[in-house]
Amino acid sequence: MVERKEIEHLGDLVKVELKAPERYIKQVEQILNYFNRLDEVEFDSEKILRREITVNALREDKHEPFVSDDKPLIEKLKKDQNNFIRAPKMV
Amino acid sequence: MNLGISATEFVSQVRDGTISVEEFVAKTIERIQKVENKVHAYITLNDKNALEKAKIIDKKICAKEKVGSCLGMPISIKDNICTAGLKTTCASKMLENFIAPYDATVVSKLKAQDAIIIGKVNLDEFAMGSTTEFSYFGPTKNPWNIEYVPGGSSGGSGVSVSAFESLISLGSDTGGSVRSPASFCSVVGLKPTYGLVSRHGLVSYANSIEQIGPVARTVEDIAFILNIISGQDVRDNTTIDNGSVDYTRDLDAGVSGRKIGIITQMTSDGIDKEVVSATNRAISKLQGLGAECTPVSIDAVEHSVAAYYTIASAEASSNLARYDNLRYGFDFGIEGYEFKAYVSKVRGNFGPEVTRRMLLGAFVLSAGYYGKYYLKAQKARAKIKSQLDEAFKKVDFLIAPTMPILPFKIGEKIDDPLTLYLLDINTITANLSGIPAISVPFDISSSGFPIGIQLLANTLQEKELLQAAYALQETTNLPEVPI
Repeated sequence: MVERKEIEHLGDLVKVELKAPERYIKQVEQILNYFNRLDEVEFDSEKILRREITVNALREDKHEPFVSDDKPLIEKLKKDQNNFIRAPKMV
Repeated sequence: MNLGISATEFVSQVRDGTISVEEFVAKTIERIQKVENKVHAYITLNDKNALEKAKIIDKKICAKEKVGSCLGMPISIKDNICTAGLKTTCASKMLENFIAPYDATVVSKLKAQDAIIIGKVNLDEFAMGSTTEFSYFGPTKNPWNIEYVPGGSSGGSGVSVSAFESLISLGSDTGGSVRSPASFCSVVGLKPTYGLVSRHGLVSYANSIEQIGPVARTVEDIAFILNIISGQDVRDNTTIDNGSVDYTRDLDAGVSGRKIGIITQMTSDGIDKEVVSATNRAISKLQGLGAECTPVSIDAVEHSVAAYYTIASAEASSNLARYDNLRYGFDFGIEGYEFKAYVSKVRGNFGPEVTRRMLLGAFVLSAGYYGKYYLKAQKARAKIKSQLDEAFKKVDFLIAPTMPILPFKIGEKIDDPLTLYLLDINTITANLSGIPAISVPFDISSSGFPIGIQLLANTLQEKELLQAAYALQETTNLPEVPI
């Protein structure tokens, strides 16, 4: 059973103010019940997927100019009145 | 002018002067303006830039200067792939006005070949969904019947190509997000091998399973675009070396003598009757071309949905932790809030599906449950891979319907997340195991909806997979989109 308290706790963990926690209770419970079928899975844990990385994780240490349509990146930085700078948003 | 030509035909017609790039791009924009109020595939249109770019490319062609292999082909990009100077919203309020300062590797590769980015297309918020109904900007509609879902999450990609609003589109496939709309909209969609295409610039949702993949009208077009976007990238250290294969060569090699396994678990219970019958007809056609088809059992598939949603939710909840509205977000004053309350308040603006997955992700990763859910999911994932490895010792390809059912009405299943999750049963196997899979449009149901057939191959076997897909495509003769 998933209770309202648990959903609110999860909301707290992921830092989301849930407008209507009750709408998630039944759905999350239903999905977790479905996930329970994973209990049946038997498999040697030694064989859990590991991926070999073929590219050198350290890129070559060379300067690459940032290509931008208009002005260079440094000039795009917004200057704050307290002498802070605001870096561009980058996902 | 026929906007329904393939990308390959576009290239040859521009080359021989039958059409000009400007004319084609202008007509495409006209078409978008005409059908967008019905299908809503686009979030952002790049029409002005696209026309300017088209004129420049025409001039270059006239002057016999060197032009990239895309020759000004209009391509749409799913709105979770970064484009410099053009909004990348992920169909979320959280990134409503976000403009990336750089291009994703795939986008810079396309631009280097003189492709024209015609616009950014709709998706389920942060690519979480199978119907494109969970977009902050409203749902995309299926051009075969606009009351029905187009599949998802790359619904905008599927629809823009299907409704002649772009020649090719790039989507992302985390659990079938390229193949599902391809199947529901009667276009071709490929999920490449994990690591074949760089993910640099793809907004992260579930890093260990997602891949950028193309949507196009023909298998030839998929091969053409895969040549451009595949390959190692120092900015994504999960990319792998494909030995610079030319996917367009020998596409017509055929399937004679090839062995194809029919996945039992994906062709039996809960599959729509018309989908089953189309699958059987596809199998007969391939047999008629000389392929040897036998049933193959991959029983780990029965745990795939649970494993997939455990892993995807876990990765999503950690990836989305960064959206605190400080580094990116929408205008929302900080006055009157203490830090955590502010962050929680703004994050309350995530849509219902994203919120659900973050809650699930936090749950399956929390102390006491890790062994029960996450670890077991990883075991199920390894078991799937191991059973596929065994299967590929005996067969060259696997076959199954892409989607177990036909498109359904918009809103019909939106409040039933588990039912929606279960629709991914046939597509997520390729994501969990990293293998390539393609959806080929095969038939139209009696109710007028497209049915796609999925072919899967072993890691990095895209060339062979495209040959088989081409052979299947050549057995079909499908009607034009009714919109």
